[in-house]
Amino acid sequence: MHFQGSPNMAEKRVKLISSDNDEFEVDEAVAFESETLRNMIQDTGTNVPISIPNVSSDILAKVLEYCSYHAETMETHDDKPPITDAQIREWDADFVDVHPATLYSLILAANYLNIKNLLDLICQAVANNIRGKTAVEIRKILHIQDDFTYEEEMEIRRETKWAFD
Amino acid sequence: MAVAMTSNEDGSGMDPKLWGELGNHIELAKNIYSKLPIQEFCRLRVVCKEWNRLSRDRKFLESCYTSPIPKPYFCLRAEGKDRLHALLSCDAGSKRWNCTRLFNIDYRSGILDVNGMIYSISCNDYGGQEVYNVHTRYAHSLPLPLEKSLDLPFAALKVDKSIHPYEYVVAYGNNWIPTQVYDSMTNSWTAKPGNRPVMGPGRANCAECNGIMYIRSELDEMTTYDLEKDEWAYMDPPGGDCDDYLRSIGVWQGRLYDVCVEIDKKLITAWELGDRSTSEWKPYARMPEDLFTYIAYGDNPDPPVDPSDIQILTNFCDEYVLVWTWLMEENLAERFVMFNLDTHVWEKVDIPWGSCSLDKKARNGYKQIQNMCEEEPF
Repeated sequence: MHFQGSPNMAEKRVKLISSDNDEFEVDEAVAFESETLRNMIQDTGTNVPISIPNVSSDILAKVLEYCSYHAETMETHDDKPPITDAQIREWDADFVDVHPATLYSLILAANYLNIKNLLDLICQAVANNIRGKTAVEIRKILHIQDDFTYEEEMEIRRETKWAFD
Repeated sequence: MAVAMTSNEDGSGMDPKLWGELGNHIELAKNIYSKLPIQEFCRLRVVCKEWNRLSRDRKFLESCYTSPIPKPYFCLRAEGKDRLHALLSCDAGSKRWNCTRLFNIDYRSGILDVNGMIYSISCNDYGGQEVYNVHTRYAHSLPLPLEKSLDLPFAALKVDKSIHPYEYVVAYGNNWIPTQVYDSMTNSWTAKPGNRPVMGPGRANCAECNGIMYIRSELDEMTTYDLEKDEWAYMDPPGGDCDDYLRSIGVWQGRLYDVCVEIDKKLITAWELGDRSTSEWKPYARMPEDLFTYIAYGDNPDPPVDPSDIQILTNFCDEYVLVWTWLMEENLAERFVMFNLDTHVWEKVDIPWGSCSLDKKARNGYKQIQNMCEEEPF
């Protein structure tokens, strides 16, 4: 499978291999959106394909779609108007409009590949998903141990009354 | 990466079998918890001790909430029969205005707000001071000053939000004590040997512009404190026969602005300070007559409003200037007009009032506060 990054032929291309052995080829600028890949490329160059053993091809394709779009937004073209912040926000909003299970895999991939903006974007989407949930529901979903006594919890509720109204 | 696609009964589709593992991979508090809107963030303090601790961690709060309340927002303050402290903000999505009462600043006086940071002094002894951040709802208590004032002192606040946690400088002093400057970087007070301001300010507002703190008190007075030169000075407020109500002053693009209300002449004027050394104020813009009529008399002035029953007040948020009417008898804020210093446009804004009106309990509380916090100028 070949992934079409931005079609700038003058640029170096980078080969990436997903956990299920699919090969992706992208411009170096696209791969550089990831701190992890940038470090690897700086160490080993672009001749050897880079294995990404813990990201599956469907998720890697999504991640590269993000990197490719955001690398493109940094470029300036004489013939095209620059991409506006509003357009980027809209694109990002569409990008994270996926099943929560996909969001979960994207978090792990963005974290491993160290793509800070992508991690922030997805974590914001997750935060939006958990809005309106009670503390009990949050603890259950995220497996967080309730370490308060009843009195301690009541005291915080009193202190933060405005937030519970 | 194997992913379980089971859907979850709570509607968000977040399966605890999967999401329960997330905490093993990323820091939940830093990555997820910090991205909740502030009300949700405070409500979820009860999830666990770590989240609760972070909700009181100034550095964490101020680095994750760098600009959570979208512009324009205003900290309204007024006194009539009751005392009003409220945050007026506009929801970016629905464009609807919300008003939240700021309960936490009751029992305080000497209140100033700069960039959503509200400085106040305890009514008990004029020593205990705090800076309350409306963005994070976090109150930072300052250490006691080296020498406490026995009266309400002159105070001014400067805020630098480019640093996390935000840096504040507070200048504090009057005729009876040396000027003292608090710096949040060192969390300590420094006594300054320079001159002292002669009179107390009564209630005041302040703004900082190019190292000068401007303090605008009611009774149409203006005092400055130069941080570098350690020097207090008086300066003339803008011309015109302004009324005495406590209005905010604002800074936009390195310039100081003040709004003057002349009810008799039917004028509301925004003034810009040209040159501080000569107190040279220039009229910047004037509210159109129809909007003045609306602000002063409302839509249906029947029976005609007595101008002495209202206060016309202002708030600044960068280029936005809110002019609004406080009906002292009714304890109602209504009739809002916004001026944009950048585009020079004046327009009516539709802000439904009601959510901020005081209920009976708050009113009784207010009576006690009023007894404690006599803020008479001396």
